[in-house]
Amino acid sequence: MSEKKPVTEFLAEATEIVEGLSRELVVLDEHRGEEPEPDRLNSIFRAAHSLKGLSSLFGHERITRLAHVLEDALDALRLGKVMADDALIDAFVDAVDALSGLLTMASRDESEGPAAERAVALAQHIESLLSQGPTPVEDPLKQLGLEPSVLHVLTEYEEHRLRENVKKGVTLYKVRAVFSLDDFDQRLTALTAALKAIAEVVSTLPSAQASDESHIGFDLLTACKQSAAELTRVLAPYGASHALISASTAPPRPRPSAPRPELGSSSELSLRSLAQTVRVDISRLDKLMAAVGDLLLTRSNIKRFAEGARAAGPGGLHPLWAQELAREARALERKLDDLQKGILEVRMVPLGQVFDRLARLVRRLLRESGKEIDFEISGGDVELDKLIVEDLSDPLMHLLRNAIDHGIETPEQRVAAGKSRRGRVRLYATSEGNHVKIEVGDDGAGLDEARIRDEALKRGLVTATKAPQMQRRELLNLVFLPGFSTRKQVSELSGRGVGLDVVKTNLQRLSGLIDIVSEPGQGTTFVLTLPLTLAIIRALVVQASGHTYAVPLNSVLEIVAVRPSELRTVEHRQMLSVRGQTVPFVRLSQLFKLPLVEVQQHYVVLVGLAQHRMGLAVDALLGQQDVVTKPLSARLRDVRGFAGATDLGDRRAVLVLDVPALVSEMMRPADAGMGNL
Amino acid sequence: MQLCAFRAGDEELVVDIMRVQEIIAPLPLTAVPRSPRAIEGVVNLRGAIVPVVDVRKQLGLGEPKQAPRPRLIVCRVGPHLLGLRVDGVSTVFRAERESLKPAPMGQGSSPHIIGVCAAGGKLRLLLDVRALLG
Repeated sequence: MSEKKPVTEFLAEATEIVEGLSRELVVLDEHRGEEPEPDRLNSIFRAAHSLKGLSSLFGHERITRLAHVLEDALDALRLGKVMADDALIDAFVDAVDALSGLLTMASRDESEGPAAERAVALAQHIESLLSQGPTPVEDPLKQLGLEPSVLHVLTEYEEHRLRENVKKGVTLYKVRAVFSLDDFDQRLTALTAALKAIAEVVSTLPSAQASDESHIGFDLLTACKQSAAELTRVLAPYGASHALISASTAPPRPRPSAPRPELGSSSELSLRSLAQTVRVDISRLDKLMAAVGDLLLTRSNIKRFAEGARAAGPGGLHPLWAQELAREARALERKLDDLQKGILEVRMVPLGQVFDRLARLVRRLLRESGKEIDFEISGGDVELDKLIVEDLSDPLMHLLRNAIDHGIETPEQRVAAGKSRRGRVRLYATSEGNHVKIEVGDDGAGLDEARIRDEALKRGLVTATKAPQMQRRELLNLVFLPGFSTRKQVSELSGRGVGLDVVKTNLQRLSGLIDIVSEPGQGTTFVLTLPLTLAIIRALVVQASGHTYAVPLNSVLEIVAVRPSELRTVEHRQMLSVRGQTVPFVRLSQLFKLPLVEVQQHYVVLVGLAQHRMGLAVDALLGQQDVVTKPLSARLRDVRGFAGATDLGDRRAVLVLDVPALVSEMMRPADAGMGNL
Repeated sequence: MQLCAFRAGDEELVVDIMRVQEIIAPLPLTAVPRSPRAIEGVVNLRGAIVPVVDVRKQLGLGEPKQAPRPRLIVCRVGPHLLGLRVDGVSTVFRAERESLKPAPMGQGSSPHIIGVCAAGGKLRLLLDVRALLG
């Protein structure tokens, strides 16, 4: 165990760095053709540098080598030795992909594989891009008239920044500040921060011209786009002055001979920023959550006692004590709610974590597809439970591949159809109360109803008599059946033998819903609805044939009351009509073979799973409660229909229904005949 | 080894005491639809969900003649808990390994009985808790 730990620590930290790299690269990528911001380049450079150090420490040579090449390339870029052209940025994007691949290999303890070969090839590719030589230009630094002694102490990077600023015509100043030795470090930091708000501080040089022994002077080479007056205003609180440096004016008397002070190296900075987060194994959070779940029960017991004590009247507890108890119980309740919310918040991560990875992949797909597509992404800040976010990347990747590969037409087809040449693929997330909605959409040709019908007939998924009667919505939902594909030839991009049924299965596991909105010629949008978390769930407590069950509320769409006379029977099945949509109806007691009780009206809990809907009738609704689901024991693992059991506060075990399993059980006979949705 | 003796129907049985976590009065039972016949249901034991097997039903024994004093023997197999519903717990005693004999094969033998204990002038069936857990 103890041997294993450093590896997981390494993976966690390295993954964090690579994810950071990826985020920065996405921005770089989006601003292709513009000059990269120096701060961004620096931060990417630092990330590559940290990764290099980290991986060499743990002996991952391939990662070290690729990170090293990346670092070299970024260094050359920030020093202006090479241009941030498409070839280089593409190579960076690929390199980050390759690094993720290498980390995956490391996590599986593999040493050979395609990812390793790709990494080696990429490292060579980047090196060859770098060796294609710089583009020498006349050195504007020479025109500055800075004395050789100043130039001599500047680092290569500082020289480069000076040069860039001269090229862009930004005015250069030498800011002179004198501080007391007692607090010069804080004052200098403050001054630098103030200057950075309006200017770029290229270099800070200590000055020997301090007035006395107890003071120290600094020269800050500053590039400022603001007016000199503004600069004066900013400098005033620090008693600092400024002098113009330019090609025409006489060189200011530079006087740097002392070694440049250490103002904190870049690697130190990056280490500090990493140390601000604490990595926690999600299973520990699960344990905390279970403990909170137990506390919630204790709370409801205490609450009951408190209420009982008050109701007992004179014969019972002293009224003051009863009051005290009730008040403390309420305080406990509030704190527990906070605690529960807090733990849930800790589990929440922004969808951006997976969106960034997807954005990289999409850009690669776009390059390979040869289609002209704009990719829009939004809602990366929407938060979801970590476990859900992780499981989303595959389904979303699949849907995006589909949109690029099948959804969007070729530019020629688009023009012929009277649309713009460029297609659009969207990935949107929005937060809606207890749910998160994610849309993957394209403005392509839309799903072809006729072709879906033909394909379904050919594969025997629907009968010839049934097919013509099916509505568009029903037909569209056929694409979620296993083995369904309307694509004639297998494509390199998405033809990997997995279909939308995999997407559906993945979403079912997350208690998610999936819907298709598609209009011919307008495009197709897949709408995914997901619960915020699976740790503590809100459940609807119901009763059927005298037994109590909990139904996870995240799979409940709505509850309707229906009289038995309102049900219709279609092909030996009871159906229910909800706002024009026909939904299969089943009594929970029937499903569980419990003795049926005559009822005046059914309470129908409409549950949904992926694209399926079903009406589950119960005898009574008892209320809602937050529950922590505990697994049924190994002895009962073959019993389908239950996600586990929970405790509602009366010390009995209450079974929690596994809605996905029950719905797919109901749908299975339907898959063959495809009668119902 | 130490054994715990209990009654199911009119039969005396024993389990290895090392398997027994605790013996309690029966807890309110929740029936699990669709579960195997011998599983009576699940109970909530201080937050843990424990399946309960009715030993009498599992072994196909009849109603007891003696008035039952029902107990739940909570057994542990690895990480799993299993509750045995029995008609009474009689005693805990020490037995020599030699007093344990393999279960007789043939008619009426059960896969859940692994042996017979002939200590203290009585023949008692040794229950295989692991096999009950399935």
